[in-house]
Amino acid sequence: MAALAVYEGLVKRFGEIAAVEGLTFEVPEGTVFGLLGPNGAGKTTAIRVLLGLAAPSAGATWLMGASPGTPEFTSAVRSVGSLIEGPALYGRATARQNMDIEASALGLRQSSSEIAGLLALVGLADRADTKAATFSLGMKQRLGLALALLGKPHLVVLDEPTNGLDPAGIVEIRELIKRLPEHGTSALVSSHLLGEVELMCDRAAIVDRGRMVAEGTISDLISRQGGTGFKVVFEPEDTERAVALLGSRGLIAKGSGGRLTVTGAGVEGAHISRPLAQAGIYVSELTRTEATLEDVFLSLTGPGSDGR
Amino acid sequence: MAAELKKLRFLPTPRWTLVVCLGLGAMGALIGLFQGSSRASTYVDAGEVLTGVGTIIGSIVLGVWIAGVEYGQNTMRRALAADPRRGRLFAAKVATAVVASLLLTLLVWAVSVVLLSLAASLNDASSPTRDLLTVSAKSFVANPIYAAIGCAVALLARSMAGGMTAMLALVFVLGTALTALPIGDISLGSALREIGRAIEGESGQEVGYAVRVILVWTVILLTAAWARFTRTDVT
Repeated sequence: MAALAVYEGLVKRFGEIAAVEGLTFEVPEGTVFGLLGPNGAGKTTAIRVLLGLAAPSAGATWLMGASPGTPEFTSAVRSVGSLIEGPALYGRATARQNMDIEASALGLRQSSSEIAGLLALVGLADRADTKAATFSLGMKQRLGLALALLGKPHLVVLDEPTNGLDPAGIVEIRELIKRLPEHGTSALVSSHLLGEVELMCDRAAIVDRGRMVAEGTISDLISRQGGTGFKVVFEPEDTERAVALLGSRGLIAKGSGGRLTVTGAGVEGAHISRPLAQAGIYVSELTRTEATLEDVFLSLTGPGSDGR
Repeated sequence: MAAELKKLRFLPTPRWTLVVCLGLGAMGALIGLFQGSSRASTYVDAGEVLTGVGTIIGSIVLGVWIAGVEYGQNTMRRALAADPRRGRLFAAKVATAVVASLLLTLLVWAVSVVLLSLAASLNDASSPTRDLLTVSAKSFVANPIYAAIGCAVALLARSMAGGMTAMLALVFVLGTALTALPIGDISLGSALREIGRAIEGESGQEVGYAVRVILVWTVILLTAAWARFTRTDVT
């Protein structure tokens, strides 16, 4: 699979502040790739550099093999749709006119049927001739997505695409993005909505304080957190002993006050309850849990993480 | 440039600018009509003040708006994400500003000349048409320059409101302030008025100096705007 977007040691500083520091990853063709990170992690800055809207302080990015400033970059950008920092619309123009202006900017000739089709695809067919300024945030977001999909791009770069959408709209847009690769369009989706990324993306990079802290397929990332685990409850005074005992058997036990989360390769309930019982620690509750992307995200970016 | 022309068509500011300028032209004719003057110069003066100044302001508004609208609506990043050739977009914006200004000037003066001539004939004044056409020629020189500079100033300010304020200050405040300096008149407005006087056939004017002043102002502001637009990050 060829890489549609490549980041290689990207650094972007604003004065003394490093918004992005050494970002390296690739967005393979035919995937929906998630760029995850808390607010201020550098996701939007990374996207702006990729699209040539901001210059890197160090490192480089390539879009379809072309780096910003080269003649090839122009045709590369033209085959990329984007929705950055919310929908940028001409509020006093209608949805159709916004699409028409974008089509001209992209140099598309025959576009009226495509415009109608895209507006229908994002659920705005009946509001095509309504001024964008009167739209709700969710409708503006839908129009922004339609603009990004104009011209059948090879790659769409979507910054928080489900912002402002109601729950039904989120599901609808998620399913739409998920199906994009079937139509020849890959996607780079930046978001802090972990559940959404987990459901729509094939791969993801997690960014924190400008640095990449993890990258891989969604299942890889989750398994790094331990995949299946157990919640164990026992007498609080036995906590330290239990952590040490389970640790000596190759398990990772975290928690306090008689409540632990235990993870480890191939861990089963008996691997926990038996040694604890043999040591005189009697388990009152043992529940199987599945790690989520949220667990991974919080363990890598939450308080106590070092941002790596 | 096709996208820029579509913005002119679809968005309301250019239409309203045209309507206001046409209104000013009609007002000039109405004033002449009700004043009942039999002197052709009354109608020429009305045209020069209302249509002439009106189209200058209209051209400034259009020039600033063509660049400023992108910052006001946060659409500059969208425009550049569609086509990253910033120099090309800069040229398209300045060219659109010039074309829009010329169209505005043409339409408003055409209507004004007809209405003012009609008002003059209704008051049995001699025809002011020839003099009005001469006066209008000054607008065709000055207005595109104001529009291009307005576009440049908005790109420098990266803001619609900031661009408009800076442009009005440049034309109406700085021009007066510069005339007070003991280095000769280097204001843009004075240079354009000098060209205007030459168009009207007044002799002894320093046209060459005025052209140089206009060129320096235009080149400096366009170059500064180009440099800022093409070499800095888009927010």
